[in-house]
Amino acid sequence: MGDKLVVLGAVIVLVFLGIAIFGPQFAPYDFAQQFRASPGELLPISVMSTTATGERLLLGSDALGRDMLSRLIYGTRTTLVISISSVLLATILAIVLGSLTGYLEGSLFDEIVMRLIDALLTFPGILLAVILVAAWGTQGIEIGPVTTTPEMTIVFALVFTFTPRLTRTMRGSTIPQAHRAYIKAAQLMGMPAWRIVAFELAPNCLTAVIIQSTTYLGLAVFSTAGLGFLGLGPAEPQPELGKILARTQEYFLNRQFWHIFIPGFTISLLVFAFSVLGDGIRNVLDPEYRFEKADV
Amino acid sequence: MVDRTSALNKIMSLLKYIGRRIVSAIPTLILITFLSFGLLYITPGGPVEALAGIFGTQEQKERIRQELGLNDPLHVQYLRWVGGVLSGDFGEMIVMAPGTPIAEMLRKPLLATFWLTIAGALIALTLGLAIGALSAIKPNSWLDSLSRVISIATYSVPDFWLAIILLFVFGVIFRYRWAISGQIDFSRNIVFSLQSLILPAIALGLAKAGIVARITRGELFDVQNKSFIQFERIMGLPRWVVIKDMLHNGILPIVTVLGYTIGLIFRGTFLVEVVFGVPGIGLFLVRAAKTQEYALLQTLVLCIGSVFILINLLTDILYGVLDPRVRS
Amino acid sequence: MNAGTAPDRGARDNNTHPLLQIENLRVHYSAGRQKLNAVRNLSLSIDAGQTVAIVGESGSGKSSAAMALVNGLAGNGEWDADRIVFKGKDISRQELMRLRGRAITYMMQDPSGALNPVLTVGDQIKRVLKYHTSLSKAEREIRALELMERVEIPDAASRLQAYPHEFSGGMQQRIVLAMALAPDPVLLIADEPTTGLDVTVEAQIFTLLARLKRELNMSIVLVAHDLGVVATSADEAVVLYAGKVVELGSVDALFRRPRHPYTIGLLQCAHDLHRDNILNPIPGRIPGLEERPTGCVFHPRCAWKTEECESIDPELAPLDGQRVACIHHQDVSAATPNS
Repeated sequence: MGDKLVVLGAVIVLVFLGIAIFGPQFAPYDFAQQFRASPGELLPISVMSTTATGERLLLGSDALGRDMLSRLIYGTRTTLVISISSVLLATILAIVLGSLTGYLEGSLFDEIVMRLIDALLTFPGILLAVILVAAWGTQGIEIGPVTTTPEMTIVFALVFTFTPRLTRTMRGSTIPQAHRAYIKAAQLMGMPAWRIVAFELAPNCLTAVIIQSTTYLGLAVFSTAGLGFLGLGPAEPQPELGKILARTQEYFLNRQFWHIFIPGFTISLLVFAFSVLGDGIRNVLDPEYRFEKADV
Repeated sequence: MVDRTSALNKIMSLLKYIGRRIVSAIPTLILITFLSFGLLYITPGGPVEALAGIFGTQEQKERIRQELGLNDPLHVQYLRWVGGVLSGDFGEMIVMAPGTPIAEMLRKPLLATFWLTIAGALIALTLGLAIGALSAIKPNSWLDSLSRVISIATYSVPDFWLAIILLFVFGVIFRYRWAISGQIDFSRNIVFSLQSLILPAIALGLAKAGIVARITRGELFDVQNKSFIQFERIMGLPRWVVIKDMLHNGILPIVTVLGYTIGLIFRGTFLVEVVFGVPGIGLFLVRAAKTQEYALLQTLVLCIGSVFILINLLTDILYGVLDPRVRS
Repeated sequence: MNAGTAPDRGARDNNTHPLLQIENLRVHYSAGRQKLNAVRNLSLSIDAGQTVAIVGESGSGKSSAAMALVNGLAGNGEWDADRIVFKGKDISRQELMRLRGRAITYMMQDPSGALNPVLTVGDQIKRVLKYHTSLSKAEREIRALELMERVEIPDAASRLQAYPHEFSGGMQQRIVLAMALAPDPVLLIADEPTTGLDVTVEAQIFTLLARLKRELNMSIVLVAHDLGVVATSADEAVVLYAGKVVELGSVDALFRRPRHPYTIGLLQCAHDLHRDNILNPIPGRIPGLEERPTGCVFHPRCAWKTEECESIDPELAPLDGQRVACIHHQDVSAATPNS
């Protein structure tokens, strides 16, 4: 059963990646285009609705008359780009920080970084991201000449939430390696510390952190959608799965169950696929592993 | 006599352990005050910009600076802030309800979130522990497979979506008024508050029960196969004694699950509160974020951080009570 | 007869019957719809005050056999025997089970895991006393201390209040032994009691066991893979291979004149170890539960193998006080000089 699940997860992930990459090619309409039932009247929210100009919208429109299917396709794209890039960045940051603190175990640098991580870990999961986005605002931040996009703000916030635990993992796998003979040899040969860490130490300690980061993909989708749901996502008219879901509350009185179901189901499917795929990868790389609380 | 001295020893070592835990939580708490204080300064444009947007002129900006003491050195500002916090003064609201002390604003939301967390955790733990324990006792049975499927499913379903669906079904289709009120305030109407609590708590509890079940199953499964349990059986100790020992040893990891679940639910409340419109600190946080009410944001960060430190501390202490190994 | 009460010491000494006799003990594990035989027709006879060793490599079924005697098999394991005789009386499996923890006790391997980590060792010993003796609370206190001293734990009085993790592996095993001795058993089953302990500690534990056996006049079933241990501590030995008894007899006879090719192989291994030579292991490995060969179970690894061995499963045949299950045993013993 386990193997079949992993294959299923992999297939779902591939399909979603396809949607994210090629979405613009096959999305029927622009995600911001507002359709009208008649000139001056927004399209009513319903499945298989027909517009004044004769287009048929497969999943109907949202409260502003925009094509639901197109918004879902673009929304998946946004959610995936934010999730994957934040996990990627967090992993890279964690590898750098973790290998340095592991190599310099017990130093002041190590002490400061680890304490900071302790404090950040006090705000688990999505909470820290909410707080950071809240502080930074969703409009984007000016850093010198560059102004960040709201999407980048969200990515930064998520990087902050994922990096601490990943760094701990990386540090944990670095420490035992740092005392091995080949590292001592490199030190005796007078290799500079940064070279030892970058070329000798870190490459040998990556397994655990990579396993953990794959399991974080599902969490990243969850958090991105959560932020979007709270209204802390990308600005209008950019669609995002959590945002689309949040707006479905506007359809409540029309009793359009499908509209409530579809965005939430898409998020669930993504989280599910990433988690079982992550489990599968972990089982291959680390068969001894047991489910841990840190994974959620 | 021997019993008494050993009991005394036990209490002494326990007290020492609790003391150590409390002391080790202090640096984290201090870092959290840095973090929440620093929030004001990582905001784009800083606090004055944020406030001046509402207050307008250059003079007023300077007045704000004077009033908030923003011209003072940073450490003076920090100490003043911490001093205020320690005496219960968290500052005042500026945007949402100008002039209202934050401490006063926060009392009710904290209580609402507290009850929601407790109710959600209760559901998650009851379901999770039951399913986890049953599938640990009979591994690879249909129940075990079912619980695996449920675990994976609930693990993937976001609690906020579950909340929307519940709201839709009970609020829109069945039109239960209590389902959508979101008014959790036990000081006013206990019955109505309890009713309002039901759906959000179910949304929270169901979504996390799978994770709890998965962890519980793993831990209990391990305990069952420990050789000391086998030894006790072979030595012919009564069945209930063996089961009691299994529970005692199985409860150790479950205590961690307990603290962890409460944390998990607590952070889930934020999203679910938004769905149901429960005026808890989650809804407050989101509103503070949108209106950039910084003093409120600072206080909330401090509160949330302290709550998590407290949960971890209590879990550690409970663990110490139950397991002699962590005491020494 | 007196299954429930503490055994009567006087009666034990005068008994002419063997203490415990088991005829054709069988253990099988069920995996799905399959039944896998772990032990086939093992017969044991243990006299009072005697040590009988069950010898074999890991996977031979020796621990399964020992566990079966105390009903400690894993969930998917079951056992059966044609006849169980305790002190000359036929008893049922249920009656045997009622003896465990009282007349028959067990010493676990893996001392570090055998003790409950959340109870003091004193409480664990006293608990055995509580359920298996009629001693009062105060008497149990004294008896627990006595037991701790008996297994030579230094500073016993204060150590009663310590938790298992505060002891070394050797000390933990002594406490396991104290628990096993608490109900004053007539038979102690020691399942590789020194697994995971270092050599000096191992020697101490066996010296202690030998002394206690003499002092308490109890019988021991010793499960072991190390023939050196068997030679010094056992009176009789049963050699088990892939769930089947291939040879049994007195330790003296077995060591002087092994008859079965497997026993010979085992002995050579042991000798080589003692001489610090390169190990001379028997080629091949013990077959798993689901891959037992037809005919004689040992034939795939046997140097004496003929075609008949692939089809005939030899019975245990008596031979000068020993018993051996090999169709070529005469050729084998003719070719092997006495050592």
